[in-house]
Amino acid sequence: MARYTNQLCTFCDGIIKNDGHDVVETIAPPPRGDATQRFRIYTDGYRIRLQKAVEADYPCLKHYLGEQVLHVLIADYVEQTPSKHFNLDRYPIIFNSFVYQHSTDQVAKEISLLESTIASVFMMEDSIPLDASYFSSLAPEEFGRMLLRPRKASRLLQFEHLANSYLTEFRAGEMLQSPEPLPQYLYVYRHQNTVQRYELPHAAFLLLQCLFDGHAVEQALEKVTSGHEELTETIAANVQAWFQEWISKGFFATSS
Amino acid sequence: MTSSFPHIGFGLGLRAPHYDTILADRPKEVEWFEIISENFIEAHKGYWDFLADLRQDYPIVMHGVSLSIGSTEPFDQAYLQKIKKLAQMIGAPWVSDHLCFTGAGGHNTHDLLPIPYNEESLAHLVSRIHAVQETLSRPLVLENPSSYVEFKNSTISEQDFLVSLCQRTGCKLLLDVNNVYVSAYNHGFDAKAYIDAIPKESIVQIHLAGHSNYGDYIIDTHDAPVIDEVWQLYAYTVAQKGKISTMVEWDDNIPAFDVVLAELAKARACAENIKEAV
Repeated sequence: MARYTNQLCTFCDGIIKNDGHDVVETIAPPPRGDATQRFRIYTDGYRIRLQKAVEADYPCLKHYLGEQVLHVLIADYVEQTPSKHFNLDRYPIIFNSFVYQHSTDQVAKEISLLESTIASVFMMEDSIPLDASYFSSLAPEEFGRMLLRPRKASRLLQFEHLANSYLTEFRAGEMLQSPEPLPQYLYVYRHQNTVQRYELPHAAFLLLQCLFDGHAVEQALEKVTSGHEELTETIAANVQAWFQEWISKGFFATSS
Repeated sequence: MTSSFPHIGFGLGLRAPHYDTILADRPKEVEWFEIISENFIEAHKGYWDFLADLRQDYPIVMHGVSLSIGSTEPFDQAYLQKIKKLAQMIGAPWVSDHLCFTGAGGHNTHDLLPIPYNEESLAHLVSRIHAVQETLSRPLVLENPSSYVEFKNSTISEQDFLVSLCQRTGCKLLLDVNNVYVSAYNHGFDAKAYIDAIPKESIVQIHLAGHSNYGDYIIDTHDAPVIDEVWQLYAYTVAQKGKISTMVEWDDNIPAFDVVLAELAKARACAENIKEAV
């Protein structure tokens, strides 16, 4: 068994390290071409496969950086990051971390974060949304004591640039300016089998952040307003409408 | 353990660009669909609902690419349980994967890598297939891979290796006629002799697909129509083995659904003609 195991390891290592030196010796001479050429089908195929998988999840980043720049970045990622999971759809998701480590372009980082989040939220586990009817029978004080959990397939994001607006324009095929350096807040979640990107005012983002940190509604409101007195008025004026909107749009999960 | 493999006619690979057409038209020409298991086992509920809907009109066969039956690393039990769960949910007539390994040292190449065929690997695969069949509570169906290299320490032909696996484990075969053609071209063996060696009773399904010929070698790309030589080999297979559930794969540069349907019609006509001739 040891010989067989070693043979498989050598073959796989040769592909991942793009070095067929040890493998070629084990290959029978083919009727046409040579063993090196044949092994290259596997090494090239590996790189093409992973490159295509990553590229497919980052179309907006490709547009922003340009095809060649992204190609090189992904090629480096593929060389430094062997895939470890059977599901190839998982491989592109952590490319975002690579962009954060290897790029100095904040906009590129933010677009990659957004596209990575969309891909991961698309794949995450399902959860049942809290139905609006659940809230209709609640007294205000009961609602205040409620713990509202995010949908399992969700992420709260904040950006230093209008990354979400840029993505929206990209998908609409519009002429794009580089994203403006303005903050943008987003709840990305899967609802009715579709990934939704819901833009939030700053105060609403902070409130959701507190709720999702495990604070009850009343506590979360107190925490946000005490930490950001300038937002008190905005929150007071909008909080009811926000909750109605969020509940109707399936922001929250049942506790089960 | 379930061991009946019904003849289910002529099917197609279920691919994303065709989902809407298939759901809307429910084409009668297609008698069953084959899914790539990995596209669904970790997918969200919408995909499972889609399969449950489709299942009302078509048998759905599961075809995997990640079992890595040739590996010496422990099976991913979570993966196997997900395969089992989906197979039960859709009532899959059978579950298949490939005679290959997909990685080593915890790494996954997402490719169907070749293994040496000898007594050592045979014994290893026999025990692995038994383990999978035990977990899935059904016989495994294994596909002959396309390969680009053969190993110096192989002492058994691929077809004899497959036949031995069937005899010793009760597993069945998905005979990919295109893969036989591709590997025969790449390694210089006789494709018809390969098919002759496989007992009819072992084959539960046939695959047909297109490939790319680079002169010195062929790559199994699934991105083009089936070539004439593969149709001839298919006709030969049907003449030798009789009626076997057959499907057409098209995985890259996927054309309009009508084009794939036309390939399926060609497969049906090819098999029908042989049937008349026999």
